[in-house]
Amino acid sequence: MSDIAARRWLFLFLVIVSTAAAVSKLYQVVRVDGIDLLEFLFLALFAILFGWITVSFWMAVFGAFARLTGARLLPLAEGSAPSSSRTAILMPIYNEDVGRVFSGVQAIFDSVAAMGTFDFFILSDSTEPANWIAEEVAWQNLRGSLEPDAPIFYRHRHRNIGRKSGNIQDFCENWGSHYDYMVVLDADSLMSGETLASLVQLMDANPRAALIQAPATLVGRSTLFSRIQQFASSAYGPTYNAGLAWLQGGQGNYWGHNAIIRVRAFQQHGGLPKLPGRPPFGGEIMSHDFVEAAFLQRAGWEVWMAPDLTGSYEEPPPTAYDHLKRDRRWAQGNLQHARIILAQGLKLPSRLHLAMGIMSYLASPLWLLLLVVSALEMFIPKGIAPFSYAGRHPELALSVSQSVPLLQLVTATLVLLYAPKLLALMVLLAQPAAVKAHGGIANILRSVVLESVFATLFAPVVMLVHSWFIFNILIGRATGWGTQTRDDRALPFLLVLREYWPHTLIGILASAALYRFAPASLEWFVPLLLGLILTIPLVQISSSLKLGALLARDNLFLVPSETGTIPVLKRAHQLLAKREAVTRNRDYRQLVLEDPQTRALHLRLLEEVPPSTAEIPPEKLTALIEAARRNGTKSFSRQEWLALLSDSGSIAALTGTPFQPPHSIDAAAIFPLGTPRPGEADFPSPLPRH
Amino acid sequence: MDRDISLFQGDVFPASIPPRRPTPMLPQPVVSWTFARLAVAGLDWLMAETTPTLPAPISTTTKRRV
Repeated sequence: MSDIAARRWLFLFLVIVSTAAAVSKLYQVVRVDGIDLLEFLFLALFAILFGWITVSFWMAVFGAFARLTGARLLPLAEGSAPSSSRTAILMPIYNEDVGRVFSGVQAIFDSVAAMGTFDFFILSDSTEPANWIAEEVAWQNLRGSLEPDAPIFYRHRHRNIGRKSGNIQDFCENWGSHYDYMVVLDADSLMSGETLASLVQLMDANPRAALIQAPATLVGRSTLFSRIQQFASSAYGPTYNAGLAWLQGGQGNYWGHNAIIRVRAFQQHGGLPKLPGRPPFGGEIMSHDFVEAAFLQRAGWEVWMAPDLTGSYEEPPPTAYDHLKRDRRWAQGNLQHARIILAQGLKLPSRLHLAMGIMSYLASPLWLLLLVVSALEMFIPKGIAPFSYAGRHPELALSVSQSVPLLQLVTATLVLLYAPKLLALMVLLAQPAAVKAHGGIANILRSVVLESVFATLFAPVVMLVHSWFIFNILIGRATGWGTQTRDDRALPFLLVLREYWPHTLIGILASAALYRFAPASLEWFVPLLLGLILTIPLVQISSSLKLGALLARDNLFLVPSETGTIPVLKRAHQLLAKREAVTRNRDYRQLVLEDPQTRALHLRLLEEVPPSTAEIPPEKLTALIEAARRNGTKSFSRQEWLALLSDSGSIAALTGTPFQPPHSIDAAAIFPLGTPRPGEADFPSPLPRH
Repeated sequence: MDRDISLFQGDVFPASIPPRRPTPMLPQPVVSWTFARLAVAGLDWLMAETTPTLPAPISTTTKRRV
């Protein structure tokens, strides 16, 4: 039996045994006076949920063991520099903060300089016209500050088919074959040049690997909520990732960004189907990453996680509200995987990844149901008290206290919930450099305690919110995949009040009901009820930038990106500050009509990636031009602006100047096609010289 | 009048996107296991595993198995 198989069997054994022990203990408690339907339901829910938390617990145990014993978490052949492979770095964007995107791209570009052949593609799906033009201007600004042949390309897609996965697929279908690998980033992702070069070398040395995921550390935010998330990610993440990597091996998962992918494998096996039926369970696959990883493995490729690779970063959502808003999309995407999990040919680890993704959201309504069932159990008066017979004398009925076994179960549950943090803490404290980077032992301990308190109070809020999401998804209410808030900002009080008054009310009513009908049980529910009652201040206060800064000054929730310097992050922030210093509040849409150079650039880009002519009826364009000439463009809707900006002829007609391509454009000089590799078809000819 | 510093200065810098190399990505099949499919597949497997294989025929000239 291989090492990994032995580890997996041991893990399964431990999960089953610990769950069975707990369920058995609970069964002993409930069977005393017979088991009714409610108790049976309670047992079943408890079994599922306890099993779920034992999975996390044992994963943390395995991770801690692996870290402390120095186990080899990525058993791949090491690559060797330099690599001759070509890699495309993809930044798919959708109505993002333009300054932030291009600052990130430039920081990564600077970081990978001379580390290999990396071409950058900014793949825009932006549907806001102002964003679209601002991106083009920012791209030209960036190019103006670099060498003339800097390989940073911009492509705007006129139809957002398939959302992000469709965006990536569009790249793979049109330009992917120029490259050996691609690295997919999110708009808020950063990766260092060393990490990118390491990933390329690993792929070179391991031809069976289709994908290597570099776990992203959360960085870059300043609100209290995001700093807590950053601390948790930095302090606990390495242990959890080690456990996951040690168990999954080459049958890992893909998290959608900060990963390197073998283009040919992805082209052949990464195409996503449209599921029959309507959203939320049918239609386009929303959470595409898990599915793409499963398809790659089905075809025989390996998918790895590199838990020891640093230099991979992303920003967390700034507030609890944004975090939960993102969870709405992820919940729908993960639940949709129920349509994929039974697909023929998938490997068992892939099915488990999909199941864990589903369960990470389904656990909330199951927990809520468990609480409701246990409340009903307490509220419904029993006909008899629990008792046992003494010997052969049935008249000697002794009442039996169930406090001890229940206390044992509660203690076990608490241990399972909090021990992973303690294990991760142990791992962290065993590394002096990491201890220093997180502010020292005392500050780490204070931070862990505070983070645990916050997480405990926030958990019931998440439970209610996720349960509401699941309910909506199950009744067929789909959600879109809108833009994420990427700016640090405190939440307006009215927004928090509007969003979270129901949770507060539920907390108050539940407390009142328990106090009235089962006062003896109230104390068991204090953390849960407190969290609900305090939802509004919890969300409001944690969104505070000032409090985040105050606690940073007090050395709480410190992470390496705050105590030290991460070059690529520092560079991105510097570039963003520089961009923001010169940013003017302008209407970029009008700029196309008013500034000849912006217009020339836009027309040039339209020529390179033209929209389908069938999309915009000619009569509509004529009407738009007439309306613009009569009344200007101030009252144009978003769709009207998009139609106008997508048509070169209309722009030229409206501005009274014929379209002329900008001078000195030579595509062949910009994109050196290099030597064709053996067995390849003819290289495409360069664009004609002007 | 000097051009706004927030706009790109000078000529448009050429950086045409690379030429296209069309490589269609086909949607991967998702055919779920259902009880019926499982039953049929199970039966197929059972038949394959339990159907006796005939011995090789004997040549009439060499009197040996082919």
